[in-house]
Amino acid sequence: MGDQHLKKVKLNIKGMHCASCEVLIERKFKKVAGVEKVNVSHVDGVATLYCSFDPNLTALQNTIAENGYSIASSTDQGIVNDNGDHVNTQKDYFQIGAIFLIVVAVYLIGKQFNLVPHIGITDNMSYGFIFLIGLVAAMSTCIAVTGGLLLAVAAKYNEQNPYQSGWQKFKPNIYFNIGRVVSYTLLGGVIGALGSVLTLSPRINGFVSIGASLVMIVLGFQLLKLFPWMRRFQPKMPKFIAHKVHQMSEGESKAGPFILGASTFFLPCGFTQALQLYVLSKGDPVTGALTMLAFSLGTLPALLSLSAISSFIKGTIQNYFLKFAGVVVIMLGFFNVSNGLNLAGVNIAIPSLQNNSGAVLAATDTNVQVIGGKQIINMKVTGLNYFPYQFKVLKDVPVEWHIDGSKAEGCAQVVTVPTLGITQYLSRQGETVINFTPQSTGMIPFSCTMGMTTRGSTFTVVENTLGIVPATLNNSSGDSIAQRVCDPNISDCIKAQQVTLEISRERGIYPRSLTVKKGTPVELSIDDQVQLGGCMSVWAIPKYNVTIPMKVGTVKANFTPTETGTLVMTCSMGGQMAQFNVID
Amino acid sequence: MKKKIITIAGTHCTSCKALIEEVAKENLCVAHASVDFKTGKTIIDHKDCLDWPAFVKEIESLAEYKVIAA
Repeated sequence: MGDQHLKKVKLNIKGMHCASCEVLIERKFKKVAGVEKVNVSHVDGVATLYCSFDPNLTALQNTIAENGYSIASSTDQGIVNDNGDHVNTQKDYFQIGAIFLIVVAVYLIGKQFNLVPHIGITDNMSYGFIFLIGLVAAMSTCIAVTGGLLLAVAAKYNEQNPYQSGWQKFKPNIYFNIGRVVSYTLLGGVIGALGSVLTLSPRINGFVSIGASLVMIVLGFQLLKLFPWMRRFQPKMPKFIAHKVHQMSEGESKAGPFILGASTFFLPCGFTQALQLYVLSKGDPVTGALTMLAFSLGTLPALLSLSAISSFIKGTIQNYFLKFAGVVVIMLGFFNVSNGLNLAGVNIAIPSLQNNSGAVLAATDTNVQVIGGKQIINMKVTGLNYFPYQFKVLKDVPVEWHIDGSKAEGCAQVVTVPTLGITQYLSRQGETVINFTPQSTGMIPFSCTMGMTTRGSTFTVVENTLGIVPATLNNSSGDSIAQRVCDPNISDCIKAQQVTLEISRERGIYPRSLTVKKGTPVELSIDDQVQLGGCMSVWAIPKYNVTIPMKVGTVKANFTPTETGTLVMTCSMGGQMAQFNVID
Repeated sequence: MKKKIITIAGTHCTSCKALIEEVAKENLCVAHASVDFKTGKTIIDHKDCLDWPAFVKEIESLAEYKVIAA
């Protein structure tokens, strides 16, 4: 009898991983009444049945259940095309669109009413306060990375195991969070013990962020079934590893979610990195472990809530939840890609959800004024946001960039323009002025040293077609930095106090405290033996607006203490790195 | 009833174990089969009626397995 006389039924099978699975399921299905012929593909996750009459779905399910396979639920099946891929209905697209609009609206309302919280990392925080930081982090920036990953994993697990109970589905989420807490505590202790640097450079951090974000976007599209062909791009483990994992995960999977949760310690989240540096500066393993433990416990309520929601809901609500999760994961993925690009020094105009986006063109016109052959730009920093954040400037005409950083928070206290080699601490008291002359047309991105500030912040350099005559400058850049070096030709020149500080894996930051005299210039020489990342890539002496971009080798900075007492040297987010005791 | 211990090369996961045990179970002359997929060691309890060459051929046709007699 030819296949054309048989009814073709396609079923999505979960749990297959190799050719043996295919053969096993084919043999099992062939025993079910009505099934004449079976083709199973573990790559597509589809079984194609040729039946003389409609087979009993429960019988099919039961026959493969004992080997750990399952047939996707009817609500999950949707329409399947000839390739075995899901095809969304018009209703599905409508629902996805509506969910997208709702999520965007909630985000914009939250921004409008400042409901998206910002808190800073400071020195000497109590564990209770660190717990609060974790609480806020999990509901703001870190949810974009860790929460997104958990959401994607939980939703994917639920999709693959629709017949499991809520508790069974919830278990992997518990292992994920246990993995997080354990790794944060242990690695926090390790960082504290080493007093060294485990953070990545901003550029590598950026690429890590982009990679993680792309995985999130692919997972999101898979959840929404928007691009079924994307399944073929799903990263797969090499078979030998997959088999190991399969062996590990026999029965209930514990190792996978646990390891995944543990690995979130290395995911680029501003708060996590800031606390890693805080722990580093403390140089004590117990403090390090307790600090990261308090932080990870702080993130638990939000993450467990996500897990609970994703595990206990079923049926139609689960269907909606998967769509909601898909939309949120995709949005968070794009959000992180943007941050990653900023960190990597790449600027691509990604549509921003900033509530000042409508004012960009007007702002460009009013905030770039040409006076005396100079382009004068005014910009304010509030929290982590720049206002305005995009400027159009003319090539070869000097730019005088006035920045009001009095309300800057966290890493926004330092602005960096990677392509121009400019890194500048922003004065809390008044304006900071940065001078530069754009040498070629194109885009010049800028951000804080951790890429957390307004996405898409750029100077767009265009040809000077207006015939502006550029001003002649004596000093093209950096004249706001207090780099006063003693000139021996001046008779009353006071010899500078030379102090040195070492940063090494062996001794960390050494010494932590330096004593200098008031009124005498200080020549600080830092012997940096390790590549510093995150907020530690730029140090500052806020009181004197001194910016110290760190690099491996000898880094120098000059200032003159004018008051006795304690003078702190911080990283770009404000965490104390060392201090000067200024005496008479 | 006879007991035969063989090694099946190529087994790598629980699906291989389940598949081979399933095939053995379908054979009326096999009373019981137990596969250790990590080592490939397989214990077959069978009756005299078992057509051994045919049984080996069937197992080897399932996937890239190779039956090696103990």
